[in-house]
Amino acid sequence: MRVYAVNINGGVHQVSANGEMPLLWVIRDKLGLVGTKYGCGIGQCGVCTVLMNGDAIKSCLIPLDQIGDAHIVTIEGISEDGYHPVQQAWIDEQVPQCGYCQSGQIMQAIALLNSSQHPDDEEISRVMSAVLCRCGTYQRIERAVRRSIQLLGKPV
Amino acid sequence: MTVPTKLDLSRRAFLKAGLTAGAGLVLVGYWQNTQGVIGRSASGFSPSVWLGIDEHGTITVAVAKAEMGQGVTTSLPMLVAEELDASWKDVRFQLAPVTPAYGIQSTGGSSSIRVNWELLRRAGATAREMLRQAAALQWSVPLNECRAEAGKIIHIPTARTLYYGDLVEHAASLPVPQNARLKEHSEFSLIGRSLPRLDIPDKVTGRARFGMDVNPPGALCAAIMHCPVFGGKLKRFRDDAEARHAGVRKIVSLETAVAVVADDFWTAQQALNRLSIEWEPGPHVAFGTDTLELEARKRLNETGTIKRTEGDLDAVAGSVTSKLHAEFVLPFQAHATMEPMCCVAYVGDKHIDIWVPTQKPTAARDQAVATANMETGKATDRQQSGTKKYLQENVVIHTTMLGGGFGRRRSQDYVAEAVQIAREVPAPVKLLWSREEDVQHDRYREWSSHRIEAGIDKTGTLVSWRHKIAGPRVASWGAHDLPYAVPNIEVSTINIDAPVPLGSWRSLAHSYNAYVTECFMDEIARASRKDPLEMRLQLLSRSPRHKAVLELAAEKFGWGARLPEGHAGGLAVHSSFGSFVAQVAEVSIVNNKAKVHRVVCAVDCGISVDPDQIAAQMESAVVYGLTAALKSYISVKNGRVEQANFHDFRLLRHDEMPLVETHLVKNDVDPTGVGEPGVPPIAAAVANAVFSLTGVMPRKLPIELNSGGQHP
Repeated sequence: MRVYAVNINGGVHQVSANGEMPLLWVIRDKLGLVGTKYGCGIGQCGVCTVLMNGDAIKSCLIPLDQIGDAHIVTIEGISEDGYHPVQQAWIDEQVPQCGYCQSGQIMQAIALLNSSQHPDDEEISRVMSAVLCRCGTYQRIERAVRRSIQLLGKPV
Repeated sequence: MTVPTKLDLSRRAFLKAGLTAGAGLVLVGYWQNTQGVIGRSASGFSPSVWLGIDEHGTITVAVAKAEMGQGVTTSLPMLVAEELDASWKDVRFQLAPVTPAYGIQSTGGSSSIRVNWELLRRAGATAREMLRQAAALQWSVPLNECRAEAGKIIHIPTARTLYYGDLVEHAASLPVPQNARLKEHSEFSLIGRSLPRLDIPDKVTGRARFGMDVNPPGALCAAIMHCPVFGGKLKRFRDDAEARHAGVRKIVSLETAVAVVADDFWTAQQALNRLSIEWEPGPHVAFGTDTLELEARKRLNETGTIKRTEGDLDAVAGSVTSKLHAEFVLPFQAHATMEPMCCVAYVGDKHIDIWVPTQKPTAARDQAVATANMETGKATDRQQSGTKKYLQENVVIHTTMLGGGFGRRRSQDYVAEAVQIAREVPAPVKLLWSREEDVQHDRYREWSSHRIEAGIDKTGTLVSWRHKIAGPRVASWGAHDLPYAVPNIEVSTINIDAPVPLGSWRSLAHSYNAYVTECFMDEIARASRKDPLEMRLQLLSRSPRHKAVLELAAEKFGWGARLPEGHAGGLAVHSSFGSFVAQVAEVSIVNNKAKVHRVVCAVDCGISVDPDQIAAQMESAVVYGLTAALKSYISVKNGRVEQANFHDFRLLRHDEMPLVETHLVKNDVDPTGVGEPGVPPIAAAVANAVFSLTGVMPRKLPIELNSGGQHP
């Protein structure tokens, strides 16, 4: 047990915990940011996906002591008002059903759009396959990612 | 949605209620729940327990069904709003509290729209009438000169308007009218439109609160491990210093499990993983799905319990010139809701609080009472008093959003466990199952084995049909209601005991019986050299709604038209829970696996309340059914489940998603549900396409091409 300084959503938080504690549980149980979900704990389902220096990572796999000064962004940190273009696209396409996996889906989509100017259908499909949805919203996710590209004003 | 804190506990659900004769369950008065008053604020109005309107005109509809993705927090408010002539932008929802006013709360059987269709429209109509009366009185004009429209009352001759928010004070003082007129269907302005879901804004921001997101002040976290062998028990665990490392508060023994309570979930789970536990494996260590299959093969020779019989199978046997028979085996299935089982419980001296994502809040309450009153050696005060310490009214159930349900959250096992653990701890306890526990201790869809026979006479007519279904607690729904005109038919079930916990799995027995009957229909068509569509249509002469969806799906798919090289179409039709669904799948074989490119769905669920939500449920059902058709299964060996997590209980992923399109049969029949009816036909539609491509019918699920339809 020691104290770690963790940079999450633009703020630095002091966390007193075992260094082996996965980032997921630091986020949820130590910082109370419950928008990031637990699904499998073994990096299979992706519902715990957050951004680490802009890349999508499965927060259930990264221990606290490997985070260092990396910038972590969770669903709570992507917009003040819930109108990040990707969130707006998710509303426009009426994506969520139960909604449990959607934080992970949205973070995965943001990471995709961070790294790729205009992903084609194959790339969208491949990258978004990292996150499971038991309700089967994949078709709408695909449409929402395409709409996000438009809303972000990316060159086509 | 705010999570109630302890401060709310003193403000117990309060209801002043009187049943009014004409309006069914509409209750007079006002209500509040533990999250605060809704309906009547200082100048609010709530003519029933189903809705409240505040002075700003904001309409809050109480939803007494579980929101597990199927959209009830939008579609049920639509029913109220339609008759209320509300402006949709003014409509909000709130999950109903568990009070007698709402009766038994249970979500399942695709029944939410069906059972609320009249009730909620009547609640809306009653409120609308009171608002009209209030306006008429305020203007001193005849009632029939006042019309409701989009959140306001209009005086027709003068075009004066009053908004609902301005009328609530007055309306609240009026008597509740009986038998308020319901609209003709042709007058609907909201029903039939695709409206934005009310729950979606919170689901794209992380603000939606699921069971495991609830954190009452001072709450501790519990991890649990069940005896891996079904029917086994906890023998003992070694409670040593190593297990009790920092953050661990308590280790609780349950009859068949051990739970560790700690400050956070990870610490609890780590301590649990390190605990040396001895299990008493019990009597079922030799049980497995292989032994079940061997027993079923023998038992299928029995007649079984007859579920339907028509004509005379013996008498017709002489005229049968071609006889077909097949055996099908479908596995146990887990629900694998993305949110694993969880429940937060606080057991105080006089009251109990339960925060739980559940499909049956009233059953959760009853379970909490029963478990809390259970006698244990430690609870001497309860034993001495000899009376029940907790009553129903001592329990507050806070229903949360459900991270998936699919029938799993109709069982109360995790509620009982949370209460048992919370009894041992003077704080709220959040019990969260690991994914491994969730996969290995589900309440599974039953395994089933089928023997099915058909007879064709010399004219090529299907004259006999015998279907036996064997397995643990198998049912004949989807089999005994075979829609095809076959003159001689017998359907029976044979129950085989198995020590595997069972529950409701999305679409119940329809999921396996539709697979068997619809695959066998294609086998019959092949043997009779008939087109599967033509043959079905001929046999559906007495089932016009089946026929209509099948024709629509086939037309939209382009049945009979040329498909790309190596692709084939397969179709299936099935009715469940009052709705009718046909699906046509376009399939090819890629790397020795079935790849599904496109699924065309046609649905008849009566009046379409929200067409986009019907489409969403078809997409959802296709993914759920395809997962079971192509990937997931639960097998048991040595009395324990062999799968543990998503690496071996595999779900359909994004890149395996076919293009799904949904077409609706238009009619004016009262609406029925869509949460489940899309599941039963999809596996058969895909299998029939595979049959067309390979000439071999997959008679086991999941479909495995390289071993003749056997899964490993």
